[in-house]
Amino acid sequence: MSKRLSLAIWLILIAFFSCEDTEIENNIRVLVHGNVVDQNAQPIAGASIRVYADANAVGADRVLLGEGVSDATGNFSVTSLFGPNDLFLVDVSLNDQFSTYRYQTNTEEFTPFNLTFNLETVELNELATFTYNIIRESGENNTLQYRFTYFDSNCIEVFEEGVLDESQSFCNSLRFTGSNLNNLSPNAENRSFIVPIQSQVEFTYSINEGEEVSEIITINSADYAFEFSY
Amino acid sequence: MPSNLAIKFLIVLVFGLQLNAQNDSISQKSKASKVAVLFDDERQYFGAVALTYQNPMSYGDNFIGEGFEGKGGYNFRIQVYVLKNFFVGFSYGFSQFDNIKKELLGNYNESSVEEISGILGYEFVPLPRVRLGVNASILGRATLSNSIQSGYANRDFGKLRNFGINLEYEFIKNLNIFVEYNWRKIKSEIEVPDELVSFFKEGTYNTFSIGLKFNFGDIDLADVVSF
Repeated sequence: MSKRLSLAIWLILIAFFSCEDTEIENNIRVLVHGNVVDQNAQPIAGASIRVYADANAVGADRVLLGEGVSDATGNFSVTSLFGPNDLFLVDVSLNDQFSTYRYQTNTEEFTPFNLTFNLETVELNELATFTYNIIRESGENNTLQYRFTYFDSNCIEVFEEGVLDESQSFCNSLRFTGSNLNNLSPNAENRSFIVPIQSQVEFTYSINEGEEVSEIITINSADYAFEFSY
Repeated sequence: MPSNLAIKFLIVLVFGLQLNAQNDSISQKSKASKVAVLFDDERQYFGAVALTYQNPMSYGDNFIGEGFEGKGGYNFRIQVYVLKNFFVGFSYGFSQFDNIKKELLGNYNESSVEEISGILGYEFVPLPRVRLGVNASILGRATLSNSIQSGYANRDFGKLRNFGINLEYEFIKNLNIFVEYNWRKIKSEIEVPDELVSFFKEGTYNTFSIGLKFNFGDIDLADVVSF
């Protein structure tokens, strides 16, 4: 019994001390550079660039290795610490009115050529709040099924040894939101979601389980209001 | 904290040894050398230890000059006079810097530069009680310990070169007030992209130091060996 107990203690200790920690290598720097533009290809100045390492294990911290901002022409060049970790992340953001971008790769066995991560052109889209009101005006017992299909405002690009892995990346991915309106809940009032400005939202609906109808809406203002009645 | 304890211990040691030497009188007599400033047998010592506070000042178009701002530091030196006032010794110290350009260096708040080297030098005796010394490092090493965020740190390494000039005044027998200027260069071993090589290959800074130096013995090593 005591042997089993001591074995269990040893196993717990081994499990505890084998947790990976985020590693920062001595005597090395990497360069992260690129250019930040908006949806009209105009340079964005003052965008924040933050470089993180994360062992992505129990108890491991996400460590900020480097940070900087883009200049008036949208260019940025950040010198960063470096280490072999499951996650090496570069986050590019401006403020709540713009989308975010993340570069993600694994550096456990990958060091970039010439110790340089070139993010090339990073597009941050200005965001709009899409607010909708759907009101029943046709009287009781009429129902509406609806959904909005829109582009996610944020972008995560995952790279494997410097090559984009589209299967793990999420950029311009589609999002859906919708509901069924009936006697219990006949209206959808003041609901909203965030979309990139100048993007398109598809509104699809069906009244009384009839044929589906779709409308394409182009988002042309930062506070877009959509009204619909059935 | 251990370094602070060591410094306090050394201060106590220096003053303790000094009190022990209070009964001796300071000889003003000088045995003439052919060149008066080179040495004076009446003021010959076997060795010395010095402890100084140093103020590091970064300069130059390099990672230390552009990215660091000096905060302070300490240096300890022990030296033995091999022949007259020619000495060899060992120097250990550290200089603290703030990282003021994280975008250029990486995200760490401060760096503590540990400086270890052998030293060679010579001390001239131009005036009574006054010594003027020059020294250079040999086989110097520098370790830059960078504080990142709680629980994380990394290190950079390099070769240290140091040239110093110092002025001393023997205000009590065997105890000198000591001021020194040092020029320091770290040839870094940091691996960087091609476009950053010129910026990171070396870092330069000066230090201005003030402290105490305790002298002991009254003959040089050559005379000890010849006896």
